[in-house]
Amino acid sequence: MTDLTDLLDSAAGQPAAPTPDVVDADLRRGRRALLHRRWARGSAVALAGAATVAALAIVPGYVGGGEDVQVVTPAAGQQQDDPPNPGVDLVAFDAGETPKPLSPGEIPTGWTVSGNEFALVVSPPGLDTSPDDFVGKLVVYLDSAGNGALPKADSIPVGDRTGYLIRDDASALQVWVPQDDGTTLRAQAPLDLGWDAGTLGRFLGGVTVGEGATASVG
Amino acid sequence: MDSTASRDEQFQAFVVARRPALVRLATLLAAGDAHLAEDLVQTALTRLYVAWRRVAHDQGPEAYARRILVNTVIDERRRPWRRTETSRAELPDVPAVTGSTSEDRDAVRTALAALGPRMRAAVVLRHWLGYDVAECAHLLDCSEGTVKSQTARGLDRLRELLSDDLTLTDATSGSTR
Repeated sequence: MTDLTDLLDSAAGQPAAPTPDVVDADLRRGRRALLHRRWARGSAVALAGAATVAALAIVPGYVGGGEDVQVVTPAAGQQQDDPPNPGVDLVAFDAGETPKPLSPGEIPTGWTVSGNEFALVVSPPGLDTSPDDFVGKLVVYLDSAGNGALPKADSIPVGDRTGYLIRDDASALQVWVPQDDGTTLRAQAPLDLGWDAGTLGRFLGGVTVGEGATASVG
Repeated sequence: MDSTASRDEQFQAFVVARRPALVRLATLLAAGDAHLAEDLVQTALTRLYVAWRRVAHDQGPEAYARRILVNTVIDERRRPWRRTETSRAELPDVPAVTGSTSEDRDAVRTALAALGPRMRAAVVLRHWLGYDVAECAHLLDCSEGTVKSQTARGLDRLRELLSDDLTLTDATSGSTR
């Protein structure tokens, strides 16, 4: 055999068809990379029109888009207009009997909870509820990357842990919380939402990290 | 259908159908280095997933994945790892092709390793995937003249290493690989 095409064809080998484990691993790597991409993009774009919310009762329910999406709506007879403290008030979130791997304890009323094993995404009214888009949303995810030199002077309480404010983004407020296993729980809120560090810390402190939560790898 | 589910399902279907073909291309681009080939494929598939929506409506996933494979192997800075390929003053000792499939496979891989990554890619794209010169130039981000010279020099070296009687036939359409 001296035909180059035939020789190259032989040299290319005959790899076996991918097993389900291989396909799953490819998918997981892609989803992790996509999460990082969207985190960066979501941080770089300011929220267009901050949502107005009020402290109202909890009425959890499901909306279209599949069972991965859950919304907390205002109780009947209560008003959403002219809130006393726009964008700040949090109400308890009922995760139900099967909480997601990353589940919030509180969210702004009327906002929608979605996500997967990699990220928790809480979307304001008027924005899409896709967990694939982080722009203008509250986002929480676990990152396997090291923390580097955290700004100790900007530490805040996050539940029973210590979080650190990250101020290197022009459009989003971020808090990082080192975890015992070496990962970091990261949260961001668009600056236009009007949250201060304490509110973001309170929100993040209520997030439950379940066994199914998977740290992303940059 | 939920956009994530759609992306996931389409991506998984693509991986099931086309991963072996990408591994084959990566094996040639990596001159038979199985670990490097797998690294290349994983890198390509990861970037493909991220760009899926755009790619699906643009050049198509396979073309995009091939582009990533080629770009990654010819540009070390893009690699997720670092391997230094050393140049050699002399050609390696490569057994001539004999007609034995396994021996020929090893000989061709060794010979490919004697080519630089860009030259190797040019030869593989032209003479295995059947790309024309313009397509190669676009994929390699170089002039058509560079593709021609790289391919010619690559073939000369392969003839020197493998067989003076090395013949060239038109490669079949790349889509069948």
